Amino acid sequence: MGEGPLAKKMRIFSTDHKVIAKQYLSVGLFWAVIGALTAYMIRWQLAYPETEVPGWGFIAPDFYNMLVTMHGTIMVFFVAMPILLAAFGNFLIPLMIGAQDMAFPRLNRLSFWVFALASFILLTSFFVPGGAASAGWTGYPPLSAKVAYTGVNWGLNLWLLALALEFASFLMGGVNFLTTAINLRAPGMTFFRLPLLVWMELTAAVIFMLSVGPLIAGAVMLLMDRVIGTTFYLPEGGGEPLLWQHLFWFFGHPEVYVILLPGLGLVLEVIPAFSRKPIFGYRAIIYSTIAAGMLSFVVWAHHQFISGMDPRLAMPFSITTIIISVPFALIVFAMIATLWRGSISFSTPMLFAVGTLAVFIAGGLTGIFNGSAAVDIYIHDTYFIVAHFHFTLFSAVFFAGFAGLYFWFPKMFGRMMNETLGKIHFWLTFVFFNAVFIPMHFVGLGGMMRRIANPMQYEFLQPLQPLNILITVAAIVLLLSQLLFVINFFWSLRAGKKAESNPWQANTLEWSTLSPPPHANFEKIPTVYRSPYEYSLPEAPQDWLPQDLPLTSPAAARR
Amino acid sequence: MAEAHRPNYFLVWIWLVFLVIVSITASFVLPKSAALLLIFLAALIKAVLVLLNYMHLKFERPVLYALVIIPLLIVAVLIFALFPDFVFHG
Amino acid sequence: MGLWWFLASEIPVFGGLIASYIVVRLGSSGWFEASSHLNFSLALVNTFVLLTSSLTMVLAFAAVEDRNPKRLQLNLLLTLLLGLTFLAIKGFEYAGEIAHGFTPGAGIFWSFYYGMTGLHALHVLGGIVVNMILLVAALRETLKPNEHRVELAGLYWHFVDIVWIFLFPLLYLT
Repeated sequence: MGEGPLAKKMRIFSTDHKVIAKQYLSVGLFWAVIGALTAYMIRWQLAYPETEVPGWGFIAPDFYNMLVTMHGTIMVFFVAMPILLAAFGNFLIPLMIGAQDMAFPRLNRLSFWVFALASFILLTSFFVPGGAASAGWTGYPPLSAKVAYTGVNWGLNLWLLALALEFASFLMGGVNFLTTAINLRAPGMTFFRLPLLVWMELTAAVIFMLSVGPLIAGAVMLLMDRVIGTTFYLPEGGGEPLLWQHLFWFFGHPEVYVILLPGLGLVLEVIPAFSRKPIFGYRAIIYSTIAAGMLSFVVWAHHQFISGMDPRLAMPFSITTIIISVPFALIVFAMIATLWRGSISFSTPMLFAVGTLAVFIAGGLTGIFNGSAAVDIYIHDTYFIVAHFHFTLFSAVFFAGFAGLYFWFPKMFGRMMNETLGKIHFWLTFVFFNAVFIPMHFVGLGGMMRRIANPMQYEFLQPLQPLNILITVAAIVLLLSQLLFVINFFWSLRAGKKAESNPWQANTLEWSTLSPPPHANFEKIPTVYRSPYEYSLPEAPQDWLPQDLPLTSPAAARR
Repeated sequence: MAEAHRPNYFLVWIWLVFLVIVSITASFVLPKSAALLLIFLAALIKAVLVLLNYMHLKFERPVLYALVIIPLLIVAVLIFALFPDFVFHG
Repeated sequence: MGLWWFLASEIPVFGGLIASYIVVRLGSSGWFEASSHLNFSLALVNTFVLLTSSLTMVLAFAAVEDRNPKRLQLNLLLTLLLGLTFLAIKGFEYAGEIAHGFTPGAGIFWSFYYGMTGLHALHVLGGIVVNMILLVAALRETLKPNEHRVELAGLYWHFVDIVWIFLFPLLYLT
């Protein structure tokens, strides 16, 4: 399947899944920079309220609200989703299943264009009169339903539009992922020989597609309230603000697992490769993932324990929330068991993968506290929650994302990244991430509320201010350390050592073709003989065994 | 080919029209709760008729039934979870 | 298969709206009063229009299977006309309601009414556009290699019909 004539002229018209994946990656990384800038400004304002942010100026409380809103929106919808789901999924799924491209290449291209449009709309929302959305990334009405309450008119409407378009783009992508994985697997690639990353991406796609509906409905309703004057969420018209909360979180909670699962999938590919051991509990992991996916649909109201919803809902949702920690604990134990007695080499991807594991466990533990309604009544809307979700999200998005980027960079770009810079990047990120977010738990327990622009105006918070300053300093170093990655990334693109097909000696199908793969991915469609994690097999001549290598071939005996 | 398996589309249409008439009659003739039950039952049957016959679901692979039923279950979960907050005002 | 996934994801979209409508309605009073202002007879006509358009749509698909291009063109055309009729009647209904002062902001029932039927109407419009493209291709005899698109368009059209099968009783009959 060749490229059309337009595609040969301009990459933007390409339908090749690898090109599209890189396009998603670029946009995601761009937004990561903007998201990081918002984080910087937020932290400065919190540590030194009412002072000028270096490089920017004074931040008014309204502007602060906008920063907080956009930080969340950008990181969740425009960094995590495009990088973990769209970029890695698009790039790796066809390669890992032995296909030449996605099932619907033109739909794929369209999905990127829609996403790019959504990005553009969100970007313009910063420049319209009134500024960008400022009702929190969760956009609760009535604040978000009436222009007069925030002073933001077009900004919020554009925000809703950008989100709706982004959802449409990912729905298209989801259809593509699922149809491709179900229909285009190479001969011999049964479902239980699929790499775990593919399982994770597919589960994430299913969860997303089934959960986004109510929020699309809700967002349409909110837009109508703002623009046409309906009263879905406005009590004075007979509406109910709580309705939005339910619709939002009904999607919002499965959404965090949509982000988390691909991150875990990336780690599950890196760990066996650098422990030279098969994955422990492959099927158990798959079943846990599916169970977690199903459970994720019935935990959402744990975000609403103090919203004023019916208190009788608190108990069932607490129970389901605590239960959902079980499948994830299983996956984490499986990862640890895989590491156990492996012959581990701490390359940069492996460092980030193990880092993900450590940070995620910590985040998961605080999640159990939050899930109990009685505890949550105290810590809801404090920085304890912020610390919790940064531990879980940061691990899934950034630690796992970096693990994936360092691991697959050779495959994507045909060059190796610099190991030394990578290792320094890891250690700086790990140390300063913890320096930022561990103290944040204590700040939260001390009672500091979320989304306030100036903690110093509350007497009971003033003793916590030194912690806030510490967090901000650490955050600035954390953000600056990311420059190492940026430098490494761009330098390696030009001048990195040329990569061979399989620099890590891994088993999955993408490593059996060139780096980067040719347009049709494989010279001829491979045949799959075994599962992806056959490392250190006693019968094999070396400690790895690619999925598509027949064991009796002379090549196997020779290699 | 598919000749032997093709549903009688006209007959299905007759049933659909009939069910609409039944629903309307029920809403005028029966007491409130009986009417509601009948109307929604009729709607369900109509939907199933369209699904199975016009959309050929009964000739497709079984997994597609899951694709229809699971989202409906999810919507049902949403409705039941919202009940306490909206229907049983505390 | 891809289209079925898409429809599966659309179910919670309408489902979300309908779920909200059901619970809000069950929880409040005075809705029967509001819904009595709806134009029942026009909506009834629309129901028959849409049901029949489903019939013509599936007959179009049958025509593809029977390799009968003339019947295909005829049925696509009929589906298209019926779809347009549906939208026209809906527009007429809206005009009447707004003239009586029942704008979207007139109360929570009206918010849901306009929201649900509006979203549905947009989907009908989308289906009409798709069917129009197919009809043009069929008339120009360029449809040959892509005939399965009639089946796909049909699946979407039937889905839109099913949504109305539920909207009609929810809004007009109760």
